[in-house]
Amino acid sequence: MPRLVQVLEHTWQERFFRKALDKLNPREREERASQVASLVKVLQVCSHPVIDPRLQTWRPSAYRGVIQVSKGYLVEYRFPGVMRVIACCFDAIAQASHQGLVLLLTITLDHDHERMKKLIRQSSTDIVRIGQTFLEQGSDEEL
Amino acid sequence: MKAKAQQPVFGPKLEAVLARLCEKLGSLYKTQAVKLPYLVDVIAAQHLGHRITEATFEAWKQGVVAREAWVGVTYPREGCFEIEQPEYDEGWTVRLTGKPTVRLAPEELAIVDIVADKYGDMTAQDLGSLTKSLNPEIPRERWGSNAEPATDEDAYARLSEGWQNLWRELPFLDLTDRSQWSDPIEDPDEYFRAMFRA
Repeated sequence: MPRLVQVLEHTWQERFFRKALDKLNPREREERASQVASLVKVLQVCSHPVIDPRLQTWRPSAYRGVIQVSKGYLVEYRFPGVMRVIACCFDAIAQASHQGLVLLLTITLDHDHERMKKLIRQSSTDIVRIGQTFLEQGSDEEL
Repeated sequence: MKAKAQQPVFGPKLEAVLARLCEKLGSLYKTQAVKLPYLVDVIAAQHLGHRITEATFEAWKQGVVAREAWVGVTYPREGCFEIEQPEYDEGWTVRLTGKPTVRLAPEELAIVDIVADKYGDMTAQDLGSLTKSLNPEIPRERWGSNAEPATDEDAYARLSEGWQNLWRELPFLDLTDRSQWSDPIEDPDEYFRAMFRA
């Protein structure tokens, strides 16, 4: 296995992840798990965690210099929709038998995308209703 | 010092967005006036398929700024706002005193309302940090260069709590501390099935 893939347990256990997970039904959970697993399988065998062509499905981008990580660099992997996996890639500190290490830092699931969609729908309906009431009853200037 | 506006300086849609924000929040301090329209456009681009304002967004030292909003607040002219300009920059306050020249569609108003509700009580510093966190591609040294920030799906995805939390924690995490790492993943299917089931 040319590259180790591990998880930063602290950030994957935090409540934001759990909260986002709770909003998914079993089928969605299964689907997301399978999507992340697919990425990890390629990471384990890739020649480079950003530029290996096999990773282009996830459109990886590195953020060198945004936040200084000793001996590592942040990489974002993109999934359909707004799901993202953020990793820290180390080329130097893996065991000698491996090319490097990918430390998975966090995953952003659908966050409140669906909730926001509902909110926009609901709010715009309310705004239309209030506007209609206003027009039917007349403005302050007319009163 | 109070300056009564004399000529419109915002684009019509930006003016309408700022007017709605004023209605929702009572008044805007300068940082809100220049940064909240960015969040409005990031969310609108995702949910409506287009931005609402015609503002030019730029990466300034303290975060993303809508250039036209900054100009309009700093050099007020006639319009629907009154800008109060005390000596210190952050005390500048924008108040609605008239009607904007165009109306926003209901779904556009809904998005502005969501931004006001969700981000309207943030401090200037937190707002700056939030807009920076949506643009990790812009390296630290380029903030202040007027680089163009993202308003695409990536920027929207980074509004998630998970990303925001990671962004806040990252400077304090020792990522090289191996005691925090899981064992190497051997079977990704099984590993993530278990993790997502738990």
